[in-house]
Amino acid sequence: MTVTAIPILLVDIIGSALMIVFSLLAIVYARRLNQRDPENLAGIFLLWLSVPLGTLFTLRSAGYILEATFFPAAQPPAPEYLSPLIDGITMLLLVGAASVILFFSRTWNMFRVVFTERNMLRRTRKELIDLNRTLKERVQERTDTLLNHEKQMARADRLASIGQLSSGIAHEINNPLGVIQGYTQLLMRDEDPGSQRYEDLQVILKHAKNCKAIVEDLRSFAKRSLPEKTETSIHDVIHDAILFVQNRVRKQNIRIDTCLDDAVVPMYMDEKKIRQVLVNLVMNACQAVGENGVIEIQTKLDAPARQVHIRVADDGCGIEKKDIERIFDPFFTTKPTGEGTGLGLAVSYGIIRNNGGEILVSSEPGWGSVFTVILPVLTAGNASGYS
Amino acid sequence: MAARPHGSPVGAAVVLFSHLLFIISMAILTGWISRRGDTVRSGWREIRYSAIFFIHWSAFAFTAYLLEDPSGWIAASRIGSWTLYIESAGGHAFLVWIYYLVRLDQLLSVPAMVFLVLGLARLLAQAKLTPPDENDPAGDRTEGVREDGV
Repeated sequence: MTVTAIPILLVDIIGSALMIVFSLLAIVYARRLNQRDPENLAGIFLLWLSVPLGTLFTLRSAGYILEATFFPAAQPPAPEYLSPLIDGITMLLLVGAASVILFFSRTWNMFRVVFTERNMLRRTRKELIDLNRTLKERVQERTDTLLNHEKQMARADRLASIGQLSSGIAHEINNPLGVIQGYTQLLMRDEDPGSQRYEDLQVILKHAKNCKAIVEDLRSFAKRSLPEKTETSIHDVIHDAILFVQNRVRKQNIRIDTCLDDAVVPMYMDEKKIRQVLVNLVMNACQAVGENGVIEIQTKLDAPARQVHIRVADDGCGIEKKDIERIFDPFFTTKPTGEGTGLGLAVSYGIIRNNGGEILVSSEPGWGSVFTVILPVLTAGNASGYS
Repeated sequence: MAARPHGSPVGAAVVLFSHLLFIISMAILTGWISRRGDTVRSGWREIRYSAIFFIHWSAFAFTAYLLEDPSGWIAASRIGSWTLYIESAGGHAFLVWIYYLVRLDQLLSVPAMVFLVLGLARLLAQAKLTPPDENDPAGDRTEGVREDGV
């Protein structure tokens, strides 16, 4: 069948010219891509693929153009001795391009795994170096934490023993005090008000009542009774305590700032006792800051631990390190004789423990103190669990 | 251009084998790019198109060689400068037209190379915008290859 060769000739000539241009462009671009980052595996792959492909099509196209120019109507189109050479080059370049693809597609994942592992090792090494650099600090931090825990446990044990002792003493003293009070009141009934004996008996009654109050405080410290829990907003309790204290220290011009966490919801607690603790802490803070001092009360919800942290911080004189260990001991006070019984913090400690919470103190002499009350967030469902 | 006579049957067989291997490898490249999720990414998407065109080009060239040389089903010769005489061994006209069609293989090889150049140019442009990642020298930093290497 005789057919026109024009379409084939046109496509071949124009196509060959274009193939030479684009083949060389492909090699140039692949080379540039590889030069930008010689270690990049994708760049290496594309260069290795482009070079045999570009060479193949450049040689074949150039060959065709030369044939068409010098042997326009020859059949076969080129001298026969060139055929093995052309076949060999074609095979080599085609197989070369195919091998590059097969090699890279097989090794790509392996390379990826190796480099992913290498990156992980680098990250781990960096972390290890960082860890090593901060190891001393971390060890110190952990040691301090352990020591603190140890101290807290020792304190808890000591206070428990003191509480047991106090409870026994309070019980033994409470009965005679009741008898003293009763008989004093009976004797007073027979005396004329205003007489010397009456005034003497009043003094006895007053001191007996003081003793009774101290005994009651001791019992509060040691008591392990069920708290009377009701659903209360801790923020309301804090406001009550602040109001109470501000009335008492108005002359000192003390500023009490609050920073209350809205996430803290009403919870079950012994409202009266917790108020007593907060009043106690704020009063102590007022005494520590003196005139024109600043007290800050913060609340924060620790949702994962189901706890509320109430922080009472002051910028007062602080507490000496030697005193911090004994701060919750009954009858321990740094105040002058007659100004405090030393039972306030001990009672607060007892109340918080009785409510399933914890009370912590940190202080820097000259810079102030921070008391942190940690209370469990109790709902109606688990309110009895912490009694 | 594809269908040029070979010096010997061995030469023709070798070239046919090369084309087969080339088709298989390009098919693997296409699948590999697809599996890596690069088909939607500029650069690799064009390279995949290029591989698809190369597969078809190679299939055309393979068919032209097969018809002409080892099988002898087609005998083609030039008559003058602008005419071609094509003869089918069994007198099948469709073989003649198939042969005529596959002789136009440049219609496939040119787009294949154009797409390869486009893909490389786009990858190069992206590489210029992205600094080399020292932590990932094996990776395709121009495209944000997944760490699992897929």
